[in-house]
Amino acid sequence: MLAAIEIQNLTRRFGPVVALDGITLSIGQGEFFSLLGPSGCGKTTLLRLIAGLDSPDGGTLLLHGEDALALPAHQRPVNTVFQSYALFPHMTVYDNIAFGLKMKKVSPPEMAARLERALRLVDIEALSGRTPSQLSGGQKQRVALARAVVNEPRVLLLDEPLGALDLKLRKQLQIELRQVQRRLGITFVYVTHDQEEAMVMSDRIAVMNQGRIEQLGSPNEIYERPRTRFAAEFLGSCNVIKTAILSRNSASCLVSTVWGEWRMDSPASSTSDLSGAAILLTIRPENIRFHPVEESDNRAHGKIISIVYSGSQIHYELESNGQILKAIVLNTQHGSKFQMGQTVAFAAPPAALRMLES
Amino acid sequence: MLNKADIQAQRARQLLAVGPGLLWLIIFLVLPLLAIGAISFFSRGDYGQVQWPLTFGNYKRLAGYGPFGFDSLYPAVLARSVLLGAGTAVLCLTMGLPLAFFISGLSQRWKTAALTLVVIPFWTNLLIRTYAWQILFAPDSPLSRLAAACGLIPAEGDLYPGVFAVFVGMICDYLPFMVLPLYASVEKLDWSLAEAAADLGANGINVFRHAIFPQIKAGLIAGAILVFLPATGQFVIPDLLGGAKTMLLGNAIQQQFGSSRDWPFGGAIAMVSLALMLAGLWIFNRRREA
Amino acid sequence: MKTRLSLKLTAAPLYLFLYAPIFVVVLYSFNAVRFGLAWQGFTTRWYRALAEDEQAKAAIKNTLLLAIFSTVIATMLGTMLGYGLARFKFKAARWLDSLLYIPVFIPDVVMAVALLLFYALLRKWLGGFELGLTTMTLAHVTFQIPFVAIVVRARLHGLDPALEEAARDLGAGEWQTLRHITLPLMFPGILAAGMLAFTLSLDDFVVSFFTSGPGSTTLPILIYSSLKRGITPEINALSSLIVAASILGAVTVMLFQRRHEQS
Repeated sequence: MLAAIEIQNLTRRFGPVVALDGITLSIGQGEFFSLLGPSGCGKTTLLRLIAGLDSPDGGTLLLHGEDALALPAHQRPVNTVFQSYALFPHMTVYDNIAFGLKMKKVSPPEMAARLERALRLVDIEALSGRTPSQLSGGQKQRVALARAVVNEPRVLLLDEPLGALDLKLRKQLQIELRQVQRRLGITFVYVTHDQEEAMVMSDRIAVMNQGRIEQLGSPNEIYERPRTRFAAEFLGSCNVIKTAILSRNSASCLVSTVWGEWRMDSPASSTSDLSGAAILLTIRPENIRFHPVEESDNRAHGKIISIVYSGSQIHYELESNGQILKAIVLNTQHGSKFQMGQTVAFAAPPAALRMLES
Repeated sequence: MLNKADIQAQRARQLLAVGPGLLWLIIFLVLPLLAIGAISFFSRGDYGQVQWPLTFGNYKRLAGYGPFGFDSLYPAVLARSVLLGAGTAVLCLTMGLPLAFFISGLSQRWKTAALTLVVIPFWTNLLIRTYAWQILFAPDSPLSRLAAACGLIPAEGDLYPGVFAVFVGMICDYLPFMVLPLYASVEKLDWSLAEAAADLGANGINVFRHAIFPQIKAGLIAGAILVFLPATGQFVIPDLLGGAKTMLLGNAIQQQFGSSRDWPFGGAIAMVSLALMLAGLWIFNRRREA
Repeated sequence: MKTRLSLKLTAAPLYLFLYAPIFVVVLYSFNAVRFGLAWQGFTTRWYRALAEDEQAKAAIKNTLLLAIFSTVIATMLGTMLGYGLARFKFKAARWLDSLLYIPVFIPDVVMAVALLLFYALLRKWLGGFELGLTTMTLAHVTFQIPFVAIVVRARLHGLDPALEEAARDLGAGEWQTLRHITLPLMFPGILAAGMLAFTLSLDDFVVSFFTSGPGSTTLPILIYSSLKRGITPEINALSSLIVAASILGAVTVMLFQRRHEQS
């Protein structure tokens, strides 16, 4: 099937600063695709290039197989939900939402029908006569969404639309946005710096850093098998362990750590012979095992130096052989409950260790 | 990448927007000023007509080269105008600063009212506001009699016409103009610095000198330049309140284009006035960018 | 903070100082005696005389015609100029900016005689350009354009660029964006600029004086020539009316702006 968005080697420079450094990716139709990264990573720049609000210095951009770069913004089949909503202050909600239809000279009966559907979709029928200054943040966000989807674009671009809202509202709207996307079947390209938000809503995520894509994959893939240190640390929290490869076969790998020889599952990557190479390993805090430990590989001892209760979980910090490790345990009757300063045994299951590329 | 056609279309739109206004200004501002510059190098005929040869004579006259040696008439005019501008700026500063502090210290409700009251006279016609001082300074007016009683002027003397009246008229005109940027500076003041200074033992004057003045200095200088520039070239106020004895750049120019019919010379005076203003503007711009 | 009392004591005479001229003009417009400045009793006959004064009526007509025509032209050209300067970045922008500030700071005599000379040259080479309302209008537009451009440009800089981007994103081309989004949002600025230009024209004396001809006397010129013959209560009456109109206009504009900003 034809990709909704096909990007090849897209580059954008602002003077000496390289905002986008040869981005290549492909987004499928009907996908909820997130661009995730810290401020300045280039995600908003990329979004604006797709929208046509900015032009690249190099590369190609295809929207449903057609060269989008030849089209100015107002002719591209995409619509944007802006971070600041950008609602027209001198128009009512109704006129705001109708604006795109008016520009395309849609017939009045069809316009009325589509408007009604859009208003109902985001549940703001009662507000249609108000002006933006009379709306709350959440209401403005819905109007912005309605204004974009009423044009039935093939791709919807969203630039951190929930950033200005409080936590509860944000969580509610995350679910609503996902539902709307599923219902309409539109391709969503969603920009955010909130990794939790990206994981909850997306089909696939592109983790970006300094103008490049660090890793591209489903939330599960990136979380379970991060390829770079940046991706591992940006999505959730992790422990980074320095090791060196001792030997390797098709099934498993032997590495030397501060705790001695550890075993891990051989990585799927086809990297050439890495014997002796210094590599970084990562293990998620929730994968560190405390009980039982005696028959496990990769055992060690550590001293509890920090305990934080966060309701459903207990966060521990252990100090072991000069290394500090983070561990998370579920706060149930089976969860390990330790005291400060207590020396405990732990294990890092071979299957949970991941090799990082950089 | 924007293709060639798009870039050309954008350029065309730029030109369309800026073009007419720019063209107008070139025709009716730049060309006339160039004409004045050109004419300043011509000579005056016996009946006041403009004629060849080209000469620096007009400028020499402004610098003081008279037929019989140094003629201080026009250098004095220049000096007097610069002094007038500078004096007006300084006096407006001295009077405007307390006013700015006063308004800044008022509660929010009164602030806008007080500021508006300062600005309203600025909206009325300058001519009217100025000739009013002729009334206020007339020989038998209360002010004149008060001044005579205090011994500030001789019993038969006049407050007007003269340099004093001109200064009063200028300050009255430019004070509102000065208060606005001063007020803006004072509003942005960080009073905690003054409190810290007082806390460390500084008395009133030192608090002002070290904690307050450095913060508003930029605003003061900006306001001073904003007043100095137009003040040097003023015409109406010296004309109505200065009389024949106080010739300044403004009425000197008017005279040459009026009764004296020496347009080349008038052009030279105008160019000097313009140069003064441009120099001041350049300094002002430099400060703005810094 | 400085002592409130000392500030109040300094501020009060300054306010008095600023309003003394206006007060005196209004006061003496009711003076019963024609010549001299001694107060001789209260009368309104000078205001009644104004109603019959043909010269004054002609001057009012000229002043208003001049102000209206010049304001309309200057607002159009100045708005376009302000829009061009705000929206487009081009290399010559710095120079254009400086050019814009020249009429703001130039001594009005210099501008006036420059135009006088220019008109004389045009008259010699092209014919026409006799001094009159037309030459005055052209002159007024010249000093009005920069003010309009500066105000409009400032207003545009305050406009959120995301709004125009949203319009383009929704399918509006350049002209449509301008018509439906930019111009309506710019409108208060254009209005303010227009009112500023109108006031500048109404109050102008020096430029008008040098570029006027017979039959194109405006109010300021009329007052000035009458002053040369001595101050009379009639002039004071006319001046008082003008001052009242200015103050009324200024206050109305300020209230209008305040109300608009609140909505």
